[in-house]
Amino acid sequence: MLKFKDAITLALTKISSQKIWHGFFLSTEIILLTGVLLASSFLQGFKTSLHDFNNQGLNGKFIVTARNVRVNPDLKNDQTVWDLAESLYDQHTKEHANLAAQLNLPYDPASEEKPTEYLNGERIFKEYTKYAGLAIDEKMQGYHQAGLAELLQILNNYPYQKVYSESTIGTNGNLSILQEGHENLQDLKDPTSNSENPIFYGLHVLESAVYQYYLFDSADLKLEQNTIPVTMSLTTLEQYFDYTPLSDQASSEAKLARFREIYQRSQDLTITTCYRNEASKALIFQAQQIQNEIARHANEKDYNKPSLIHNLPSEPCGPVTVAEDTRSNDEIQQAQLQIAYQTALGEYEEPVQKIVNFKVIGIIPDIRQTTHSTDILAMIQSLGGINLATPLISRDYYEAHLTELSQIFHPPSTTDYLGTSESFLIEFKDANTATRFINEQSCTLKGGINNGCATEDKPFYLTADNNHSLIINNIIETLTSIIMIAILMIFVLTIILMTVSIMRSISSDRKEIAIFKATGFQRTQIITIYLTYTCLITSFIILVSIFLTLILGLILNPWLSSLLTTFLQASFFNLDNTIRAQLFEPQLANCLLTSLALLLVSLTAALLPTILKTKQSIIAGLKYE
Amino acid sequence: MQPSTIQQSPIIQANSLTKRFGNLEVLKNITLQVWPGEFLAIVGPSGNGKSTLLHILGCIDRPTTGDVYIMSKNTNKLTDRQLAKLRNQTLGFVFQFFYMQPHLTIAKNIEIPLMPARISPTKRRKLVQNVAELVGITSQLQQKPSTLSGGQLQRAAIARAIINQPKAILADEPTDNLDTANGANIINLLLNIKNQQNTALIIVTHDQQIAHMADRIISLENGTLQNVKI
Repeated sequence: MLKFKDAITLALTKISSQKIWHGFFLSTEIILLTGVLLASSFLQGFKTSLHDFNNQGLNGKFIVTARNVRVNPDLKNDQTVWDLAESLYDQHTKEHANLAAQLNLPYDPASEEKPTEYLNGERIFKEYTKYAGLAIDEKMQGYHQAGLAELLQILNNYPYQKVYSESTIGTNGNLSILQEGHENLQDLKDPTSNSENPIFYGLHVLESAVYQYYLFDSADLKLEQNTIPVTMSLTTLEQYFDYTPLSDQASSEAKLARFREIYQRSQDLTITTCYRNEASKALIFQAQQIQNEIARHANEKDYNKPSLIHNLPSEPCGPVTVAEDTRSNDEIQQAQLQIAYQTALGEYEEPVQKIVNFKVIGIIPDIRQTTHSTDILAMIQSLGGINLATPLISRDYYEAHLTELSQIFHPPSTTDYLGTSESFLIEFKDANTATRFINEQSCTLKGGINNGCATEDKPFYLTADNNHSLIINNIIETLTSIIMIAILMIFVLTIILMTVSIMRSISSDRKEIAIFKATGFQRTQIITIYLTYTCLITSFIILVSIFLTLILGLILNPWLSSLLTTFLQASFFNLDNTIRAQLFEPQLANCLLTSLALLLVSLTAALLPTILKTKQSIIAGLKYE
Repeated sequence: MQPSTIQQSPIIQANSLTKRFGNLEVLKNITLQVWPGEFLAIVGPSGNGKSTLLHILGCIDRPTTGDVYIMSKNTNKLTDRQLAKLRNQTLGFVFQFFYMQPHLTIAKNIEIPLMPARISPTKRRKLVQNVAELVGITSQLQQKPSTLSGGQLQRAAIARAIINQPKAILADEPTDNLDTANGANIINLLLNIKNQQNTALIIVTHDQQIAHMADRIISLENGTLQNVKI
């Protein structure tokens, strides 16, 4: 064997004999390998940072939502349902007529809308009418509604961590926000026109463990009666505070600043509302109508004012008061009989109005992206939020204040025609089980959520739409695959270039190899020289690339990590400044593997031409001289 | 020149050598011996196989048929490793174009044949110094080949060829790239070495003056050996 020092000397001679070529070759290789190492370090840093931020909230949990989008038996087109509705209509109108007769009240059956009618000779079903609804409800009793028991049974084959149930309690009347202590009675006509009213649809009840992360540090889940602790969505609060929504293209800094501002303003926010039940609302309408009518006829001498005139409430959320009551005894008796009639039908309610406070104790960062994007960063930003239905109250609070809440809100229904107002959130430990559960157990929608889905085997419609952990997981995996392929391609290019360069370099040494042989070098000794040359050149490339990677990484890291931190804070609505993104995460193992692979490939690449060249006769090596 | 004693064996013995390149037979049934201390000149017209014969005798080419014995060893029966060792230890080759490694110093270039032998650095330095003094390039040892003249380069090439104290020096037109004065110096140098070390010297040359300095001249004509001077 050749002495190591001699091998090094001769290998270095080889390198210095082709300075320009080696300079170009080394530079290109170093740039490519530095690119590979830097990209790999940045990718790992990006993944870790994304994971760190994503893991903070609900997106860090693998949640599947199970909804009982029940069997849709197509009752709207079922003639027996139509007939049942008609029969219910006949039965009830007869009862109502009898009752009215007993009370000596006039009764017109036409005051109640028939569930079916003939239009142009064709019978149609008016599903929105009272008796159509009653008929459908009655028919639906025959269809079993799968619930938690069935779900747990299905879950036997899927290791899960916890099941939470979410239910909706709709407002039983009207909740209008008091603006600076003032009640805008006009909003009662159309509560949905009050766009900044975050409460009017009702509340969602869910175990607070699911959204614990989004609660303020000072959150008190057990506020007393008339102050309900609610967790609001960011979008709702943005509307409530009357902000103009930011565009999708707004910078991360702007989005983060907006979130921080809303977060701070919401810390001590209590939304004061006025609850009025239907009877209270009706009295307000009546008072408004009569006052308007009187105003319209103010200049008419012959105008007879109504016998009962109400004043609008003198204080916010107060009751109407009687301004003038000139009713005759008969009129008073008629009114009392009407109340007795409605009471007998179970339809009478006393007017109720009261102040209800909602204390904001947390913010659910819902999605605000409005346009679709194929830009990966925009996609991540659009997925940082979560989709939990809001406003939320904790299940514990709901159960502890059931009586008080039931005065304002409907209990969750379990017999809705199109489904229940209850769904389940199942938390899995990993993405694979969650995905498998959805793929294997979800019923298939028949053209839309209103067209039914459930079957006997698959009673639940399963989605991962409350949060984005599965999508983000997929994105991270896809992103990793794409970037790994890109890195691999660059690495393959590096290897090809390395192989070609070394083969070319060795092949061009026909004469030198011949001289070595002529001066008595054995083939193994010549191979040693060229392998040493390859080792030197590859090691140089590797060392310089690692050095450059470290230098560039350390130089770029503070700036890029700061950008990434802002981006991720804005994407994941994270105001915790202790969590910072670290884009540059050197991968020692990857680095060693890459280096080793490069070295092995280079040595293999060097071996073949060297063996061939050393097999060549000396004369062939020298023949053109 | 003939062996002085009956015990003396030829350094190189070639028996019935032929060499063909396709249909062209360059060497035809060549048989010769080269003795220790002998100066053999190989002459003849260009393209008649002089260099080919020298290469075969120096074991850097193989005959198509026939055998070459170096120190009584049949080179056809040697492995690559043994042949390399033989070239390294027994034969010294001087090329027309010097073939120096341009990025090594002259000292390192001379040292190259010592590398396969794994000789210690101290001994190497001493050997290099000795041969450099012998060929007269001591002051150029730390220079790169590009800074030397043709004559100096050929001296360095000779130093490289003799550093392992070979039994035979084979020189392929060693003065062709040199002027007359330098050419004469080189020949004198080779003769001195031959005389000092009792080394066989085989030179391929066109130069009749050099040839006539030889102990024996053989001429190759159409691949056939003609003894010109014995």
